[in-house]
Amino acid sequence: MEFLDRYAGPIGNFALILAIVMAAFAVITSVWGIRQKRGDLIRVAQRSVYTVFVSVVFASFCLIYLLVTSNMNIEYVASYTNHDLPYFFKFTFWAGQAGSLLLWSLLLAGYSFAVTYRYRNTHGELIPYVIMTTMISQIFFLSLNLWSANPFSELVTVHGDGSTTPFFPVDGRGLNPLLQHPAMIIHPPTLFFGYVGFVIPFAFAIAALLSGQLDDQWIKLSRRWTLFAWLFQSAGIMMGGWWAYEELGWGGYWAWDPVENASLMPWLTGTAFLHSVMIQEKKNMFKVWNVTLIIATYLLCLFGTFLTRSGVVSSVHAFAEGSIGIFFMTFIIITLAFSVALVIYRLPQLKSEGKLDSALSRESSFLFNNLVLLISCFAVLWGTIFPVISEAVTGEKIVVGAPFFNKVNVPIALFLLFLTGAGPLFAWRKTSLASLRKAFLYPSLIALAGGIIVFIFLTQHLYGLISFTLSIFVTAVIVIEFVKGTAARMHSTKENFLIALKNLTWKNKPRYGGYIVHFAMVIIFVGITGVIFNFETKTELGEGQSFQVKDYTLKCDKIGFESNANYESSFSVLGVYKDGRKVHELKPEYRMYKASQQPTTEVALYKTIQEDLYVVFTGLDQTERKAVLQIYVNPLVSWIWFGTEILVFGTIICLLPAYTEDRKEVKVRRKENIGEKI
Amino acid sequence: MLSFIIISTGLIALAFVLKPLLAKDYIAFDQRDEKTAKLDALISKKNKIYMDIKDLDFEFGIGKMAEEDYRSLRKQSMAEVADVIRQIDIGGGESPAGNGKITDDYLEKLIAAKRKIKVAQGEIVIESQPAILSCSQCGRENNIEAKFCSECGTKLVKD
Amino acid sequence: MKKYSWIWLIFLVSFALVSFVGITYAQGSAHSSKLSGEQAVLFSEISEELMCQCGCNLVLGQCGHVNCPSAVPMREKIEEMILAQKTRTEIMDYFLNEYTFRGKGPFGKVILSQPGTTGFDLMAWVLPFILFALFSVVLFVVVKRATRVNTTSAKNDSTPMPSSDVDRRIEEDLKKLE
Repeated sequence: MEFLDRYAGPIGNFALILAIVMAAFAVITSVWGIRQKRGDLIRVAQRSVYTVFVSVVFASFCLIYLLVTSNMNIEYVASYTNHDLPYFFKFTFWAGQAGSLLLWSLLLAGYSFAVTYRYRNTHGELIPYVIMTTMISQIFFLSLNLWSANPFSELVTVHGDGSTTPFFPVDGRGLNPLLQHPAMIIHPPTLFFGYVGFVIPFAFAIAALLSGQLDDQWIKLSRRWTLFAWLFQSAGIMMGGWWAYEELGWGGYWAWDPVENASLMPWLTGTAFLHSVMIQEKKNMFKVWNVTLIIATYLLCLFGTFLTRSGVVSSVHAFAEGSIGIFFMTFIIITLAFSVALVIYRLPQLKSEGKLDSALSRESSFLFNNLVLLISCFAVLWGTIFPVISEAVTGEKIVVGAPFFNKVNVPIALFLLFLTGAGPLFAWRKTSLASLRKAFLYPSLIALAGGIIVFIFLTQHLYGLISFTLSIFVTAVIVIEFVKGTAARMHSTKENFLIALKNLTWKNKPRYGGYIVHFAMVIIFVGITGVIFNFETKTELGEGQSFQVKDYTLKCDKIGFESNANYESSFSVLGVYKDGRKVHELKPEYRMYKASQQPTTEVALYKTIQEDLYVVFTGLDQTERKAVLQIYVNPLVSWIWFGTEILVFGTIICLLPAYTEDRKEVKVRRKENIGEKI
Repeated sequence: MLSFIIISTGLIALAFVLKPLLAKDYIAFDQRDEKTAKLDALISKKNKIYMDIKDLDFEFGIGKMAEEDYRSLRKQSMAEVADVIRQIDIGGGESPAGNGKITDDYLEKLIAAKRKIKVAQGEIVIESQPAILSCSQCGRENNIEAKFCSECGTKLVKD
Repeated sequence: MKKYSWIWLIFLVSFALVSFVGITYAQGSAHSSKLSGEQAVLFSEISEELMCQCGCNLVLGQCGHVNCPSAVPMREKIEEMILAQKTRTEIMDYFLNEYTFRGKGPFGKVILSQPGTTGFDLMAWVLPFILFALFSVVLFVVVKRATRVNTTSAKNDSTPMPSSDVDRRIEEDLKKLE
């Protein structure tokens, strides 16, 4: 133990060096192996990847050990923890720059390991290139870990004669209080699982381009990895919103902050990719487009990390993070140039093999959805980097804040919502106008009726009205799709409704899982639309006093103080009454964290399906007798989180092994081989 | 102590990674040769069209597609898939369709292909060394030098 | 069929319409307790248009910092000016040209939460939509070119094997795929 206490840092550092050497080794041997067609070298490359993974895992354990034992000699430990920080938060080593980059490396190594191991004996024509691509990214991130943001660097005191001795601060600076939230444990890894996960389809695309195996094999192999990454990206974004909502205390969940935008952009292109690959899988068309999309998605993942980590955009943090931005930009540009060159080189082989049967078809609706998703992504990107561009062009600094993004993206988002419903109404290959009219009829009527009801009883707000009406439309479409499919199945198999429904979904998981995800988007949209009803007010309450907000009466039962090693807090206990009955008790808090001397508020929430009562304790008034409360009533917010759960559920259905696919392949192959007598 | 641990760990890692170089039988590894790739492409094309037809049937079944469109598209797909199947039957070669005649050469090829398949199915046992190795799990034909099935990853046994 | 491309055109036009109406449509949520009615609306609109200067990178209406050194005085100032019957332009002018925070300022355009609508700033607003129009045209061309001209002519069956045989085989395969 003593040995570990002293040397965990250097050992962790060594593990990173070993990992980077092995990653380089993997790149060299995989390329060499496939060029020379030497299986032994490919095996060496595979084993190198395994070693990289083990080493990075080990390095992460070293860092966790240092954090948990509060080894203040390590700069990273001293910067982001203090002795009294709950253990809970000491394990989360991704609080700072160096740690979060290590998390990138760790997840990247994990993905590479999983892919390499999964296909260790198969697809020898692609996998070595996949190894090469992921390991090049790995080298990049490991070199950042080693030379730009090393989590293991030690604090030293430099003496007059130039000699140094280790320096042990008495205590660390502590973890940013905003990060001391349960979401801290789950949100960054989830989002990073998404970010990093897109490296796998990207690597498969590059492998296809490099090897010239440009059929849809790479798409088939990477489909579930893409979905997996997409699932985590979606969940990560939503969790970020949830965290902001519960921790930041301004009553909202999305502020169009550059960091949030950074996570949204690859999600949008990734979503486009998930749709457009279906055309290639069916028709062998639009190969260039799919390759381009996935390259763009991965580059946006890198760009997102770059935005978050370099501080180029949010001017206050500008260049506070050192030289890392330049490395990132260089890597992104090299990746971009290489990928583009590769696509151009392969352009002749990437020609479409098929033809669309009609301009009115599911295929073309997917293309249209791609266009809208990409424009949305562009609008976000454009707004995010516009300050930089504006300064370069006009020399004038300007800010692009939330109002801009709302104005530009809300109409685009509503249009997307419409496409979510309209898309499924188009049949694959060809839809005649007559059948389209038939398909649109009932959902439109239902939406129209719903829209009128919304207009009369709920809101005249334009966007709100459109959003609710479209939500009804999409829901109607999805329900009708399920009902029609089930009815057709009941008719042909004589199963009862529930069994038919289950089998229908089970036999065609991507299609119906996709519909469930569409439905989840509807629920999320409804939740977001609730923002038009938001209500906000402010009050001061002494003990025993009460206050009326909308349908609720808040009665202040107590104002109190608490203190522990980590923070001091003042709080109030509020009874929430509705229709004369006590329905809930809230305890909003104001905390002053001791180590960092930063105040935060702990929001108290009373959630119902209908609305959230959101109370922030912003402090005491001058007399120190009254609590100053900021109170929000946010309708429908719970729908967003609920929608996210449905989204996860739907995506998991898409992800489940299509039992048909594997076995069907074999069955079909057998069958076609038996053939008929000759 | 520290340097000892570091050096020995490094050496162990290196030994682990380089071990495959010592083994002599790793010379070939699974790579689709041109013919397999061609066959794979054909099979995937066929499955694709099958899925297309299934989708057509389904969408027509739930009334999303006009009958006229359905008939013509289905006919078209049937013709396409028939052509693909013919190509698969002769082992990925060119379709003889065109002159409409069955040449000896074509028959020869067809027989060879069928024979290969039946061997794969275990229906025919051949005495001479087959150029292929079929997988015990899924029946996929693999290169004789392959160690593992390129379809399902099962270890291949030469017998 | 090429002639159906106009359906997409209808989608596009309706989309353009919605965006146009939407962009000119103001929205706001936060307001203060001392103001009501039109004054409250003005307050919330102005707090959407200004950025908090504490470093949070949020609009004034959203900065949730407890006792924020920038947001709280800014909000008080807006409230005060509204109560003093100052117009929107006067208030905005004050924040653009006079307001200072911690010795910095006046801030000029940097305090605004969104780009203006003149000069290069206009690009921020219109470029996404210009690109949208541009790529729609590209998409039309792509779809048009990628669409089969004649869908009905199935390939004629000049095959060595009787086609019914193959057809039967296909149907069998299809049945088993279920």
